[in-house]
Amino acid sequence: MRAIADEKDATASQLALAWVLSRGDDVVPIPGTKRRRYLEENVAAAEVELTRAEIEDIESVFPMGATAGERYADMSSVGL
Amino acid sequence: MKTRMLGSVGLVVSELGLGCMGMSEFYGPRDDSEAIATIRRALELGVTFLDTADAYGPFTNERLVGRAIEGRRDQVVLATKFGNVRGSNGERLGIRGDRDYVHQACDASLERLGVDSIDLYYQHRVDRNTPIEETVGAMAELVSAGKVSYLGFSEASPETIRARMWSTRSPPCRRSIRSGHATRRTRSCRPCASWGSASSPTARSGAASSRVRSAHLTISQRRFPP
Repeated sequence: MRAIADEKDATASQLALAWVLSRGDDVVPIPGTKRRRYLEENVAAAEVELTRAEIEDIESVFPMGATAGERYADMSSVGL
Repeated sequence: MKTRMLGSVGLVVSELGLGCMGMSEFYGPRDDSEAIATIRRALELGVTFLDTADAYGPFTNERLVGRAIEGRRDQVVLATKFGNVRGSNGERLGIRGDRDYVHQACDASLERLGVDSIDLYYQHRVDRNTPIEETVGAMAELVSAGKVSYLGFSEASPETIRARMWSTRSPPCRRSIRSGHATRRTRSCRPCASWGSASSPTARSGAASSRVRSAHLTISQRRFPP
């Protein structure tokens, strides 16, 4: 992810946000931060345009199911 | 900052929102002055969709957001949630969606936020012990009372949301919204979104009934506490 981000002159987290934004016009990410510095970094992610090839690159290095670890302790209440 | 339509009934939000939870809990020490500066900077930059919940803090995050937006209410699309019941010491007291609780929680959130109405009010988790009709009916009453504009659900499966919308015969949901926390593991976002174009028979008394859809995607799962 970082390598792809470097080519875009973006951070990996900006790439992640740009990817979320690329999922459809009905998707609105709400990244959390408590510092202006990261807020501004997040805002800049909205300007990162991903090409189809770049999206495919992201999908290949971070395919469905690639995440590790639990989201939170009470996953039992999620997805009911 | 561009905007996006959250669903199809007119709720327009900035294409990036700001999650405020971490300002009060879960992510290390609090710094309220930097947090408030962050919220105000967000508004300056066009990030006007702010998300909080009564459970964050608990309770302190809504107060913080309220302080930050004081005098700026008209610039903000304000979202908060109910249903994750917590005690004053942070203890977790289960999930509730019964009518009395929905009303009580909403009034308390309005007071903490210091606002007359909430733009998007949504249930944080599914309450397995309360009939869906009761929760949705109570939420619709909040809309009728002018306390809330749009309704939603968080962390509910597409099946549950579908059941809610189709089973509701209680007072009309003028506007409702569905919210799915999607992950790269669950794929839960797409099923929700694809269902969003269906019609909903929630308007017994003839009020316009429609739904908005939203998706909270998280792809950083390890750093996502409740």
